[in-house]
Amino acid sequence: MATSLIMQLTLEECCQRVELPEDILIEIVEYGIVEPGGTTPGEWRFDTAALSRLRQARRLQQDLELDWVAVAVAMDLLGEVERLRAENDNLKRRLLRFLEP
Amino acid sequence: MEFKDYYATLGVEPSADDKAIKTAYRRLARQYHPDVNKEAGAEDRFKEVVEAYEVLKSPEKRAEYDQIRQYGHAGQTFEAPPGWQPSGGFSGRHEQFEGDFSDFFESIFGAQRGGRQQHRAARRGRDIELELPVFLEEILGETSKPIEYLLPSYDEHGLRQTDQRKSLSVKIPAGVSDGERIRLKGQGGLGSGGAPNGDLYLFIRLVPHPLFDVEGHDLLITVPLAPWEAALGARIEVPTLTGRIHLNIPADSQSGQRLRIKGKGLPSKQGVGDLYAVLKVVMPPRNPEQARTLWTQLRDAAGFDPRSQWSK
Repeated sequence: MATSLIMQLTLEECCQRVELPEDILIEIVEYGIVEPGGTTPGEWRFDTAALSRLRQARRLQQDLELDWVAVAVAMDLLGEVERLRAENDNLKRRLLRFLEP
Repeated sequence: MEFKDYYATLGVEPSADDKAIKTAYRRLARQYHPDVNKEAGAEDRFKEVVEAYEVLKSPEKRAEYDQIRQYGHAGQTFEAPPGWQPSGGFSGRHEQFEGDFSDFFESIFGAQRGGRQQHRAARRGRDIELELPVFLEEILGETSKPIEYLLPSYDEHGLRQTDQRKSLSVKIPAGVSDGERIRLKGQGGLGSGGAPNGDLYLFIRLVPHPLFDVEGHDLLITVPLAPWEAALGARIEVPTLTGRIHLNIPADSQSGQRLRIKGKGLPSKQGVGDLYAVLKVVMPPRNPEQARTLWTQLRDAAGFDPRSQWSK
């Protein structure tokens, strides 16, 4: 089974995939929820990580009835929590190796 | 099927007004949303809350439900009253749980999704995201790994059917790192009406290793040393991911000190990482009489104060 790590979607393709209208997606990019490569919307390219973040953003916006600014804040904080948890788990594991006889 | 008490699910009185229902939904959704709450059971609870809100926020559906409610109570089995016709045809918006409402819900309101406008229309299959636990040994070279997952499937009326079990062999790219995503084109949900299938995204999770910790593309291994090995130096054997190697421990080594073993880390686009041996001086659990004598001599001869910093 062929696998690929690289995928580059245009704004239009990305809108279809995540089922969001173009103006909303542009707004989402303006709030920094995803950061596509390229400078103008016509040049934007979205990768797999962006796609996954967009789906999460849409879930939070719909399910929690949030506006996009609140989604951006929530996702920043959720990402930070996840990063800190992973780091904490890693450091704990390393500390235990040192403490255990 | 089991009767669902949607008011109890949201924790509101049957007389609650729209505002109270909305507030209760938002509070519970915030609490149990699977993106926010990773605890087991949170997602199921969240789905119940979404279903309850789907019914109670709409005046028509709520009225319909209130009527039904006279026939059943929570915990009881529920049979739709004779002559009851599912109303169907409404447009829900919770596509991430498409068709995933309870049988109880569907018996009252009809099937959620496919019964709607998408029926028979060309529609691209859903993309699916899965976590894929990967062992460190599997990312050293190009490895194939069998995976199995469930694909949601729908009949020609758009009703949810039993999930299909699907098996694939996935090539794990060498040096893939924790949190990266692998895309498998066309291996997601089935497209309908000639539209393409969705894609499968595998979210890489490196499984913690019993010996090695990961730091970027470097690996760490904790190496226990006897006090005399740390003092005098030693040549010891150290496991790596690809087999054992010999390592020289220099004399006067310290606990916590790192020794670099070049090229024995994880592969990456920038080249292979290194393995670091983190030294840990360990005391023998017991000291027989002869050893105690020797430690005593050492104490008297060494003139070493490990807490000299405190006396400054």
